Amino acid sequence: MKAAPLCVLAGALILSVLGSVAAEEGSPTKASESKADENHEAQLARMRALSQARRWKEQIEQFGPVDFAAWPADQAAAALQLRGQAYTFLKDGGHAKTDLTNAVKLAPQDSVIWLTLAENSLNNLQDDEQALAAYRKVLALTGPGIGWQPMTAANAIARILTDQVKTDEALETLKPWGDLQTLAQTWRIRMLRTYGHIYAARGEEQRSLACFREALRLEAQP
Amino acid sequence: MMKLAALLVALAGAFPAFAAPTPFQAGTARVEITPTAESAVNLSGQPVVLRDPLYARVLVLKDEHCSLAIVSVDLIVFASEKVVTEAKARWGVDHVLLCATHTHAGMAPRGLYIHPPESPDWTRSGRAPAETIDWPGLSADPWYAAVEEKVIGAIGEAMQSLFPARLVSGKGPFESAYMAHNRRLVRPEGGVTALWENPDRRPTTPVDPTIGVLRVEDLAGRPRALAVQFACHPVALMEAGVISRDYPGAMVDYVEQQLGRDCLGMFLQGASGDLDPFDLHNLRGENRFNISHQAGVSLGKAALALSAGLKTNPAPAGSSLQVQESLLTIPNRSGNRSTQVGILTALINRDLALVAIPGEPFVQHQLDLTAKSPIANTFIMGLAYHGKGTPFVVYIPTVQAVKEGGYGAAECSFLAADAGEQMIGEAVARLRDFATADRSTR
Repeated sequence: MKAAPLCVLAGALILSVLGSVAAEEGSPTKASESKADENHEAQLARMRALSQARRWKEQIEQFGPVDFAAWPADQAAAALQLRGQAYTFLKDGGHAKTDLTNAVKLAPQDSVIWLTLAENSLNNLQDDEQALAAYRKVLALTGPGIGWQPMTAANAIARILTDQVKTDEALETLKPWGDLQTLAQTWRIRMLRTYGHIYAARGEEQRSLACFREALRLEAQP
Repeated sequence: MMKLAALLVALAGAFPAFAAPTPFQAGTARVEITPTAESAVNLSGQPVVLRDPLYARVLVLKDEHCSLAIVSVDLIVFASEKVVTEAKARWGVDHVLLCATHTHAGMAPRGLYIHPPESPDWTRSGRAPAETIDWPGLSADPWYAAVEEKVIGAIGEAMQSLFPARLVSGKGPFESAYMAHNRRLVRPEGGVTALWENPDRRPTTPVDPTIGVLRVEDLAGRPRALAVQFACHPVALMEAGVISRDYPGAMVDYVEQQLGRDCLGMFLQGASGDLDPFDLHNLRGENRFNISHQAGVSLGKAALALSAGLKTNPAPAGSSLQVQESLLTIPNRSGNRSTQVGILTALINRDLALVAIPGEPFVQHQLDLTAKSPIANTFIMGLAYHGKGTPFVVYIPTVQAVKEGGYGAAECSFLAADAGEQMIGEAVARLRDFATADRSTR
């Protein structure tokens, strides 16, 4: 897709602002809804900025008490995901679970929310089964691609299955990525280490060592 | 006829060069020392569940002049003067060596609990454990007292079941996906970072990727004992809420499965003071137990492969067991006290040397000993107590490591910085004495 020229974007923005002003003048209900939407968008923008800056504590201080139930579904889902993410990083697994579970109800096709839910289940709640289910949902939504979401999910599923000594299933999970040649270096290294741990759990030492060594070799490359 | 026989015997005594070679005598025994499910606790005194049974395994070696009982016990440390003294008195064994496998998931007697503030960490006090722990008083714990009796009994069982034996020993490389790495990461800018686990298998130094084996056969060639020396902390199941032998247990189980229950598998912990398995805190769920098991199987396979390549001499020139117990007086690092440290040095059949040290030497000491020893197969046995000197000296770093600092060097270590070097020096001197005496005898 070609990028729109700046003048077109500026024009659209002006029209948008004008449109919202006109709507405000035309209907009091719509006007207040629109103002609320703007307010929500502004709050979401602030939440996103805090999230990008990894200022999790401030996120919770500012938005912890906010009730997103009255927000439009898409905005509420995004807000719940951002707050849930902050709770996740602050190791408050219970609050994170509540927010993220509500978020996936509002946006069940949003793989980012499922991924955050999975990470919280795994790292904070030590609930392997819930984490597995959520990571599998991510894979189902994204397909076995080479982006960060499917790669994170696939590695995590394989690691959990290895923890459970279900190594056949772990290997099966990684099968779609074949010999890893198409992966970006970072993911290839991470995947090799996941394989290394699976083979170690299976008692296949030479294969395990070969994976770990290949990961170290790749890591040493500029 | 009787006179002729008597004459032949007399001649054989007078001219040893013409005498039939006298084989070694060997005896083995194993006894379970697992606590009851109700009494099982870890080193913090917290209740834990039984995962696999704990044992004491005994191998007695005896030549014409001398006998040595080596006991491998599935505990973090086992230094019972009572066992040494009573086994010697009851069974006439000359030397008794109590070696802990050092499993960190073993049972602990009450007197060793570490549960601050009421039971401070005696390993970190900077004082000799002999000052902070009442070692003879450990027998006040009924389980421990029973273990002592069982071990004394097992030594007796081994002494009473001696059979003519051939011995062969060797060492070989051990490349493993599970262990071991050096857990002290010395930073270029100074200081040491504790590298408790190394899940990416990054190379570390120093390490000693070798194993040693001692195989005992009866005269029909049947394997009766396989002792495996390797250095790595058995810590994968520490604080896992279980009683377990960790990887040494899986190793002996594997060896005994392969060679038969008549063959005693035995683990001898080496200079593991700064060595850990690759996976530790990164292990979760059932895989924690699985990896510990796989590590033991890996070690067992390597030991069997090494052993298979070692051929016993069907007509050995005669057996020889030389043992020397030394007592070193080593200053403590702080204050003006000193500690008496017992070192037992043994030379078996002129080609296997064992150096028993009652603590946790850093692996560099093994490398130095290998370089300096006149005997090709010379192994440190860590956590090994023979009844003389202090029961346990915790970590034995190198002078260099003390300068660098870090766990095991600046803490949990109370002897003078060069204590390890002194111990190795003593062992090498004794081994040279053995070699000199052997040459003059021959």
